[in-house]
Amino acid sequence: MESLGFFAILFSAVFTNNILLTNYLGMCSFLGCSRELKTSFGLGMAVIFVMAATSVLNWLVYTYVLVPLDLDYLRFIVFIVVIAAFTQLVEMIIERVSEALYLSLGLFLPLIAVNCAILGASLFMVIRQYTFWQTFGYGLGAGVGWGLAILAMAGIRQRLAQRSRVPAGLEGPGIALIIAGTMALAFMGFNGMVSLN
Amino acid sequence: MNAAKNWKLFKENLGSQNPVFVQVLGICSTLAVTNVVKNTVVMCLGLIFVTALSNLLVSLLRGVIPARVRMMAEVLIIACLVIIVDIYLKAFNPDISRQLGPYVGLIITNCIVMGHAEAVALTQPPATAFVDGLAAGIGYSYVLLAIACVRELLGTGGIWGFNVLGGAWVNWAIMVMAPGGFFVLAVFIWIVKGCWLKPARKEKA
Amino acid sequence: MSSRRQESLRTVGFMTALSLVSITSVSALHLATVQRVNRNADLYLQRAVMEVSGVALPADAAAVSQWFAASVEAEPAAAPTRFRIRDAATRETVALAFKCRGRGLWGTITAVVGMAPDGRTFRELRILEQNETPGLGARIGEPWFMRQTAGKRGPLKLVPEGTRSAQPNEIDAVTGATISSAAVRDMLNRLPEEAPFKEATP
Repeated sequence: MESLGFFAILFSAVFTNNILLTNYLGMCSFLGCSRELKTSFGLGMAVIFVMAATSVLNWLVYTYVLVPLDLDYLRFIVFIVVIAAFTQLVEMIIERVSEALYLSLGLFLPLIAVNCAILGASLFMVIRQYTFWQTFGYGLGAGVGWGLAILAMAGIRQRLAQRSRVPAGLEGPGIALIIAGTMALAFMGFNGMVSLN
Repeated sequence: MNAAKNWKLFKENLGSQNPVFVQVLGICSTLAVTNVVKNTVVMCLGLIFVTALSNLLVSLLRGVIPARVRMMAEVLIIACLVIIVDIYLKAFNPDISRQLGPYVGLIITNCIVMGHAEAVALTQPPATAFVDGLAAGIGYSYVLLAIACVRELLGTGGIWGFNVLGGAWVNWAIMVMAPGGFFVLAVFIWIVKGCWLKPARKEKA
Repeated sequence: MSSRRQESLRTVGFMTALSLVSITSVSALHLATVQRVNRNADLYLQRAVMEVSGVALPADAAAVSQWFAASVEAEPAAAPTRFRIRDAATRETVALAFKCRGRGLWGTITAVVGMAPDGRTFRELRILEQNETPGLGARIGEPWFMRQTAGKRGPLKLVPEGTRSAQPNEIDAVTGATISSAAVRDMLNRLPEEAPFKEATP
């Protein structure tokens, strides 16, 4: 029984099992910050970076520290501390290194630390018992998938704001959820595109 | 006087400041399990437990938490409470724990828990904070339970595993899958905002 | 100067104290329940074996464990793990069961599949663990899917959901979950080669 390869997991995480459209994770910032393409792009990039990096970091901590010491039950605390520390560190580094990068990316970092998708990716990694490369593929893919979803959402919402009249009750989160539901339906069409054998 | 304030806070959390309808917060962790009512009940109970107790604990410690590590301390307290819920489920309800998967752990990043800890627990006395946490959890729960009832009923023809709609019912497969959750929540928000909150706004204007 | 150091010390001291208290309480709870959690995991497997062997399931955990200890011979060294279920009184083999694994879309699918003593006819199967897409691949855990293997013989073929074919080698797939359904099919088809049946031991 062979295991899923890096590219297979990457593709699946972006399309067929999109962490936002299939697993409903990362909704708060998704609904709140997806009105403009520019902010969405910055947020998406930040999420991709943080998700890939923290998935791998958490895998390392889990495999080499928690499991050997039989401290698996502490993983919630450890993971969230790793994520918080990582985002804090990256924010500090970016602030010193590049003003431009900080303005476009760095501002989102504190917001991302409590994004459920980031913690979710690490928790899924544990449950599915991924290896190192599978974890990296999944973290990267889930981030790209989330970024793709938020970009599409921002594009659609911008268009909608220009051209359509949304019923009063649906303004804001209501229409965003309907758009998300339709996108989820559309993404389901990717099922079966990749043959994993 | 305190009791009156607490009661007002309680009602607000259920209605005009409802975390799901009005603020659209914290749906991440539970929307995924709303395709089965039983799992939703367990998740909501877990969330009420965590929110109420984290508010209580943060409020009790509000005098001693140093400002710089405020968020870390809150996250630590919340994470511990969630681990307690997770261990409890694994020990006493293993089937449900298996079905819920990673979503119990995601209560930690649920914006409602953190949001109320920051906004209310740090400034209010313990009793008020506890009531607020409890109410926020309950306000969140009844919305999600309503969604779960619709999804499970239309998607499988029954509720809590009991067949309600009879054998002739053709299951709406979409309700069990991801898009169903989005659509049902959107419709609920529409109904609530359209019928309930809007007339109130009209009266004020 | 001194007050800043005091401030930092207070911060560090507080965080350390909080961490110690939280980790201690969580660890205490964990130690108190770890036995129970492991027992639950064992019980899960035992229940599945009981169900696929066609034996009526008693309500309480102790009865299941007792039955398992009395009637089931496990060969964990074999791959996949083989269980031989004997009638408690006559010691005759009434069923076989295998704990097998397949590669699903998202991760390993672990299942227990029952087999008649002839070693060819399947009985029901029970999915123990799967991480498939909710609403799609995860439907392999639905009762109709798990029960349909009863009476079928390998090598199995997949047909569209709802066909409920009378052919002994056809099972319904889950619509929209080709990979997950195929994973189960392949897992079952691999059994005769991975677990050669030698009825030598009576």
